Amino acid sequence: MKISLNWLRELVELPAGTELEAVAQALTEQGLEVEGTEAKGRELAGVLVAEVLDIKPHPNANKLRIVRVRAGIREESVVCGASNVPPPGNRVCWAPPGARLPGGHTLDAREVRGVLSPGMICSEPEMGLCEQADGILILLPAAESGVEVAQYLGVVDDVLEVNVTPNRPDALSHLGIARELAAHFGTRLRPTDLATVSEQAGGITMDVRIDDPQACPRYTASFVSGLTVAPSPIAMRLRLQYCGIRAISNLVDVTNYVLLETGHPLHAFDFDRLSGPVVVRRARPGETMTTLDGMDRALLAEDIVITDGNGPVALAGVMGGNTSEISGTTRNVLLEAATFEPRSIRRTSRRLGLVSEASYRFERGVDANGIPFAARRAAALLAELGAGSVVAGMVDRYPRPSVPTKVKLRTAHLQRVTGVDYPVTFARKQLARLGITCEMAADGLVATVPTFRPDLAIEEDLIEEILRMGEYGKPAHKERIRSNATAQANPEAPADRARALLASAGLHEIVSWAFVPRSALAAVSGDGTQRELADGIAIQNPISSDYEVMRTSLLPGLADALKRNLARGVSDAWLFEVGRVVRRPAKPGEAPVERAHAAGLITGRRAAWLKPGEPVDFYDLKRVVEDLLRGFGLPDAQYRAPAGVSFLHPGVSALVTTGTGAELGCLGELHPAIARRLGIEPRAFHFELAIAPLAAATVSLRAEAPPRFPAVTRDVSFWSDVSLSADAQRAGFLSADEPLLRDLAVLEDFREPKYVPAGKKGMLWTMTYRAAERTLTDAEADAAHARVVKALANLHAIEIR
Amino acid sequence: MTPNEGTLSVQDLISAFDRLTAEFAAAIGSLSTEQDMRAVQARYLGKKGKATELMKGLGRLPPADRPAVGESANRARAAIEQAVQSRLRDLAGADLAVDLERKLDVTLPGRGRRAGSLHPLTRVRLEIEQIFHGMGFEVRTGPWIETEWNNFDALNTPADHPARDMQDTFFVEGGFILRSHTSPVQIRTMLAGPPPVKIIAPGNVFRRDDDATHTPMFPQCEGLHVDRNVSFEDLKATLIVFVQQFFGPDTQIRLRPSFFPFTEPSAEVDASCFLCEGKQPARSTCRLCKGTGWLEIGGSGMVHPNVLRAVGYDKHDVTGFAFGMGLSRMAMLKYGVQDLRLFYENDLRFLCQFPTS
Ligand SMILES: [Zn+2]
Repeated sequence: MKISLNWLRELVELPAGTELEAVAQALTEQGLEVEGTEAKGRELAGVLVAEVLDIKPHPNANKLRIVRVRAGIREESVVCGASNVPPPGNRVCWAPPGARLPGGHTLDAREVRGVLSPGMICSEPEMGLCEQADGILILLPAAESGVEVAQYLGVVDDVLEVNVTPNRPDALSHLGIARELAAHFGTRLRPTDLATVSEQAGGITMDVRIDDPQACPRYTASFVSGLTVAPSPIAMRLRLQYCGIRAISNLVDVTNYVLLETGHPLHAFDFDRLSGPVVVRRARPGETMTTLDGMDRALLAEDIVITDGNGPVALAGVMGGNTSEISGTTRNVLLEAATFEPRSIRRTSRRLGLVSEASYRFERGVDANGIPFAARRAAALLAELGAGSVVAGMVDRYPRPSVPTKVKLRTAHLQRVTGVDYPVTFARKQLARLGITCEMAADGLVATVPTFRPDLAIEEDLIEEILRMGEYGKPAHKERIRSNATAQANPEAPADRARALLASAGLHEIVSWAFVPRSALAAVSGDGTQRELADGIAIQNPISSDYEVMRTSLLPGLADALKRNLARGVSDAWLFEVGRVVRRPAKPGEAPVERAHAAGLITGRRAAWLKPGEPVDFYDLKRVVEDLLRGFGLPDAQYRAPAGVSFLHPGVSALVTTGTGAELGCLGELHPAIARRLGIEPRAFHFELAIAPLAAATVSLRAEAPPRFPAVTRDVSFWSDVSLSADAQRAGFLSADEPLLRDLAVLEDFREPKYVPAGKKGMLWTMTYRAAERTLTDAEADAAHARVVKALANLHAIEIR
Repeated sequence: MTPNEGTLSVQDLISAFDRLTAEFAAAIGSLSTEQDMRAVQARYLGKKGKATELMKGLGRLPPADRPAVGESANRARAAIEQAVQSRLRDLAGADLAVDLERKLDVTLPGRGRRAGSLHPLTRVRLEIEQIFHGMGFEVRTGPWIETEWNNFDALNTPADHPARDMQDTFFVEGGFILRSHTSPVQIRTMLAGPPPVKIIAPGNVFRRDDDATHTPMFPQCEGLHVDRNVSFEDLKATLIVFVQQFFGPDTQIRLRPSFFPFTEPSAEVDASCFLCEGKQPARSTCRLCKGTGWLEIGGSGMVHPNVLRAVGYDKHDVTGFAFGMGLSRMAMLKYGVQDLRLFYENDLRFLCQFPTS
């Protein structure tokens, strides 16, 4: 909300020397955050209010005239080309030599068609007051000659952008902000003089009825007759403009001015277009109306309407109807000041997408007891502008009066919540600053809360008010920290462990959106063959189709990140993400299932010193997965080919399970067809594992002392069928149950067709033998090795080389 | 070569052994391998070696003189072995000196795959968790997909209340929403057991915002402490300890009254700007705090009695405070990142600046 400092100064006394910064700081400290300030009108300087003394024709130009002006004691003759120079006695704006205009233009005396002109007489656009106007600006005759125009019009101003939280409808006006400043500085509000309004008796009137007091607790109608629609005076237009509202005409401007000043939205009806009486009620089923933006609106029973004898004439608090709209020819006006049920206003304005300054305030709550003041203020302003005459006798219907509420505050509770032993007298003094009166009670006080503060309903609300006036800023006491020992494990710990392991394995963590486009799920699921991936939980109000469904897999996010990095020329990309995927619940109606996954996607080259290494392959990926599983304490994970998932290469992929067969996830080369659909050119390798089974399978670490006796190694080299996997061979060797065998590893898997028989591969294994209590002899090692090799040979056809 | 043994006296024999030692030392002086030296040594001490030849003269000496000559022979043997060892040591010394001549360009890079990185939002979360863990807060998490009751109603934010506008919510099928803050974790934790509760709840939250300063998903960390006599002063103390550990020991906090439906009293939390330290003249041109001297870091307040009531706690028995902050904002401040979108572009050239800590 934009707040004019000049306006505030008219409404509240401030201590001498209180400048913008002090005002802004006071508001911010009190919870009305000033988000910015804007200096206005600083470029206009030295332009004076001048009285027109005499007008003469220009000797050399028909369209120019020589205007004799007097500003204070100075008198000069100025050349002027405007056609609207007013007769002598009127006031204009004279920019003498030395005056400055917006755009950095400084006036001097110069010759205009042979006549020396000391400066010029200015129009509004020349002074930066509006975009466009016909002719020069004519001021009211009351303007004091010789005064700076900028000062006279209030051109020089500061506008504060105040962020008002939704609980403070009372602060959505200059008056509300002024009240806060009075409380802060301990000063008084300046009263607005309404007594000068002369009311004309016996004019127009119309009856008003409220059919639904809950929908409309109070409705007043004031009447103005003999209206002349015209532009408002420049000072008012300027003030509206500074507060972000476009000036339109005196009547509309006055309603907006009162809105900004008091926070009360007013609505003006063209009296002559109403058939009367005015009835406020809920809309009827099937009822429609045309709002003043020309749209036909179907109404619901929750809408509140203002009707006349012919049906709805306004959607209460939201928008007027076109049948009663005021126009340039409006002569008589019914001015509505009312309050409506906030919930209804909110629903209606949301449904129709009509959010206005008025609906914004109504849905936060407008103080019914402030309505007569706002109505009289508007009438007074209209009369002051000479726009029309105020008719005596405001019609006021107030079936549900709001009364100040009583809120109890216990001193003990105040002290418990704040942690400070405030005496009750302090509480009373703080509340009094805000206009809240208190009666003392045995255990505290009872506050009488004015009706403009609907946010103060319980004792905690009062506690905030007590603290709000300067207590928030008191220093903190660190010694109060009570450090409880914590017992429960961090539920994020397994995910964080995965992050640390993957980062140390050389991968970089990314963060991708939890929602993905449907097309990405179609791609990774092989167009639905992988059902649980394809069928994501939909967002019902997505921002765009890029975010339309919750991710079922981390692959789309990783693929997108990889694609972007490749596009930026980063060809070596080892990425991982640890985050949740969302899957459809087993039973409809249950909450969707959220599972934490760890996933990676790598492409590029292996590390080689000072030169590019070989392209990465499946086994680089597998090392990452193995390190991850080792880090979780899973020594015996199993890898089973093929993975049988839509998004991995059928021949270069595996399912990963724990030693007991619990499924962890899969790894492998990204399926080439899917890689193409995802826009990834080079071969890329992907794994995705679920965190929960990984954490559940963690075996607590048991360490052994290093062996005391040396080990002996023996190798074995043989041909086997290509299909006999390393795991199967290992199992064959281990079937010997040889107690001396401590370790075995593949040294070579040799498949060069030139040397290897068809359908075969050359294997080289190395075995480590050791006894716990003695050094093995060569003979013992040889014998053990022979038993181990024989065990494999008994199970599979192998040919020792 | 062999002196006439018949003419040799005891003295002659002893000095012959001494000469032999000197001659051997000279003979191996130019040799550089142990093998060569052992070959020469064999010519002196071997079966047909010079010392053996000399010893043949021992039999002709009177028995009384024999021990002196034997001793001299043993001395020569030992001296020859010692000469070999000494020569070998010299040689080794020369090798060591040569070895120590080696010089590498230590400015070339190390070998092997570099460690990866942790995302800045992860790093900052871990740091914040650690600080609060030190103050006795436990980490709690909850689902992204939530009920409106947990996300709003239980938090004193009824439907049709303007406060719901503060957070524009995503709706998902099945009548659920994406949580718009991690406060539902507070509700779930309080519903799960009686006070005391002292938790922080980090996690992703979702709001329908997508522009230069808002992302539809962002991580938050909230805290909650409910117990007997937990006060606004305790909130202040917790926050000052947090900002001083996170930003530095001279950091100050400023609390400003504010409004959140779920706290009363409520406060915005500002930390003093660590870049300009809030002091002029640096402050007026400070791009971090934009001249205010303060950095907004989050919201806080005393848990609203309606929230305590919603979870079945008794406001006459316990009070509590809650606070929350956006982790993207904290990471931007901590790492000097100007553009929020960088956290979500996943550009490795950006991410690789955040090594695992
Ligand atoms: Zn700063």
